[in-house]
Amino acid sequence: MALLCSNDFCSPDDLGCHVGCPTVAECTYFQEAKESAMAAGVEATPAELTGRRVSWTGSAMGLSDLEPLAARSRLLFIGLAGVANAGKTTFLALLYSLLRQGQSVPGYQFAGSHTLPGWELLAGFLTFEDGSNQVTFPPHTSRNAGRVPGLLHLALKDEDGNLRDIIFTDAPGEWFNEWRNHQTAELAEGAAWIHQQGDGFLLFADCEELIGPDRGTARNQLQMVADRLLDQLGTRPLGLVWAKSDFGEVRTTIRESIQQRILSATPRNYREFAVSVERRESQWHVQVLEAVAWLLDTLRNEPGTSLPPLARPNIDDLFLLRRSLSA
Amino acid sequence: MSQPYQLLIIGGPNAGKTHFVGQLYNRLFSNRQPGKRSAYHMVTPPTDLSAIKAVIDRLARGLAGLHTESGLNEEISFVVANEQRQIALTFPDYGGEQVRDLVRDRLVSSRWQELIAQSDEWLLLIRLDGISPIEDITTRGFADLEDLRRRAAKARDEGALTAPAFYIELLQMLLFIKGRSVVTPVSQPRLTVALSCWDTLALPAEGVEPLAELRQRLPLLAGFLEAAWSPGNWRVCGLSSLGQSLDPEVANDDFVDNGPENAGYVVLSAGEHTPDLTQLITF
Repeated sequence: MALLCSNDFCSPDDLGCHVGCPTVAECTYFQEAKESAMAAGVEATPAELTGRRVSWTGSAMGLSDLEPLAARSRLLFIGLAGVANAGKTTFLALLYSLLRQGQSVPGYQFAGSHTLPGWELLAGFLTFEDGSNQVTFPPHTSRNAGRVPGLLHLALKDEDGNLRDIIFTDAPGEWFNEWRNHQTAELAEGAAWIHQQGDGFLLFADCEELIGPDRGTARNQLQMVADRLLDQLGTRPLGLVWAKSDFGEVRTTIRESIQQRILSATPRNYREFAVSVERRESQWHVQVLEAVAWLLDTLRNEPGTSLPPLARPNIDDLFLLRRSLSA
Repeated sequence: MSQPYQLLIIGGPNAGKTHFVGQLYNRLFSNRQPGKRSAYHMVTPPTDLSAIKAVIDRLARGLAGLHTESGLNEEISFVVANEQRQIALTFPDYGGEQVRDLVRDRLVSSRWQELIAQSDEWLLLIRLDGISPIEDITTRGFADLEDLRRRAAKARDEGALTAPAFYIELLQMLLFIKGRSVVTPVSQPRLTVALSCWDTLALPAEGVEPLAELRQRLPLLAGFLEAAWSPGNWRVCGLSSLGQSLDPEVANDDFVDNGPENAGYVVLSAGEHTPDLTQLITF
C-alpha cells in the first residue's frame, strides 16, 4: 500500500514525513493527498498512519536518500568504473560477503550500513531489475525496489574512532560504455556524475576478456574509460583492479600498455590490485578489502582533504591574556 | 526509594522471551530462602500475572511454554532490589513476530516507539542454534550461483535478511527511534545480548566466553556492537532459562521433581555459569 503526499519530494511510505511530523496522520500535506487517494481506492492502514519510519529504506540509495547521512558526516564517494561484465558487481558482492564472514577492511571497523538489504541483494548476485534502464541514479529508491542502480553505504570507524560514511556506486557498465564514446552523451549522465562526485575510483580490468580473442577490443575499451577517469583526476586516488585474476596472466605487452597509458597521465595516487572470487591465491580476497583501505587511507592523508588546523589562541587578545594570567 | 528503570526484552519468534520472564519470576520467589541468594530479590510481586501465568503453569508440569500470540501485548511489572537500589521492572510480553515485522516493514508502531523511548536498558535475546553458517561466493565460489540467486530472490520477495544483517538493522532502527547515533559510542541504553538456549549449542560445560561464541557465529554483528557501543555499556551473556529443552507435550518428570525454580543458568562474560538468572536484569 502506498501512502501519498501532496509534496512531490516526500515519500511517506518509505521514509515517513519529510517535513518532520512525528506521524503522517498529523501532516497537513498528507491530509491534502488523502482525499484523492481514497477516491482512488487506496487506504492506509492504522499502523502506517501512526507508525514511524526510519530515515533509510535499506535499498541501494538514490541521490536525495543521502541527506540524513550527509548531515552526520562528510560522505566519501567511491566510484566503481568499468564496462559491462568487468567485475564491478562481483567486487561489491565479495566486499560485503567477506565482511559478513567476519573479515574487515584493514584499519577500519564495521559500524553499520543504511543499505543492508541492498548489499544482500548484491551478495546474492541479483541482476538489475527489468525496466531499470535509467541513465543515472534515481532521486529515491523505495523499500522494495530490488536491485536498481544506486548507492551502497558502509559506515566504518578508523583507529581513532572517527566515523566515516562511505558510498559505493553500483551502476551498470553500459553507462561507462556510453561515457567512453561520448563524454556528455545523455545516456552517460550517470557515469559523468560518478566521475564528478567520486572522491576515489576503482577501475575494473576484465582479465578474462584481456586474455581472450577479443583482447584488443577489451584493452581499447579499458583505456578509453581510463582516459576519461584520468581527465581532471587531480589528487583523487585511482585503483586499477585486475578482476577475474583466476583466468590467468594477462600478456605482458597488453598489461604494460594499459599501465603505460594510465601512468602517462601521472596520476598522483595510483595502485593496482588483483582480485577474484576463487581462493586459489590467498591474496585475491584480501585485496578486495585492501583496495578499500588504500582508498580510505589515501583520502585521509592526501593534503587538502584533511581537516583544517585548529585555530590557535591569539596571545595578543586581551581577554585571553587576562585569562592566562589569572589561571 | 524505587527508581523507575525499564528493561526492554527484545527477541524474535522462539528466542525464549516468555520462558526467561517466567523463570525469572520463579527465581525471584525462590531466592527468598537462605542459601539461594540472587543479585536481586523481589520487593513487590506483580499484581497482574496474566502475561506469564500460562508459561509458569506449563513449566510446573514439566512442559515447554507455548508460542506467544503475536498480537498479545500484556505487561508484567514488579519491583526488585539489591543492597544498593530498588528497580521497578516492566516487561512487555509480545509475539516475536512483532520484532521480525518491525525490520521487514521498517515501520515502528506507536506502541513500540513508546517501549523504545521509555527503556533504559535492552536485553536482546538471540537464539544461535537456529542460525546456520552463511554460504556465499566466498565459501562456494561461482559453483552455486543459480542457487545463490534463487535464495536471494526469495529473500527479496519475503523482505527477509540473513541473521547478521537482521540483528544489525534491528539495532540500528532501535537506536534511531531512541534518538541515538553511532557517531559517538552509545552508552545509554545499555545493552545485554543474551545467547538463549545456550544448552543446545553443545559447548563445554564451563569456560566458553559468550562474546567469543558470538564472534564465531555472527562476526559482523559482534564487530558492529564493538564499534557502536562504548566499552562497559554492553556485554554478551549466555542464557539457558530451563537448563534443557522441554517438550510441549511430553512432561519431563525430573524437571517437575527438581522444580522449575532450580533450573536454568546464565553464562557470564568470562564464561562462568551461575544459576542466578537475575544477573541479566542489569549490570
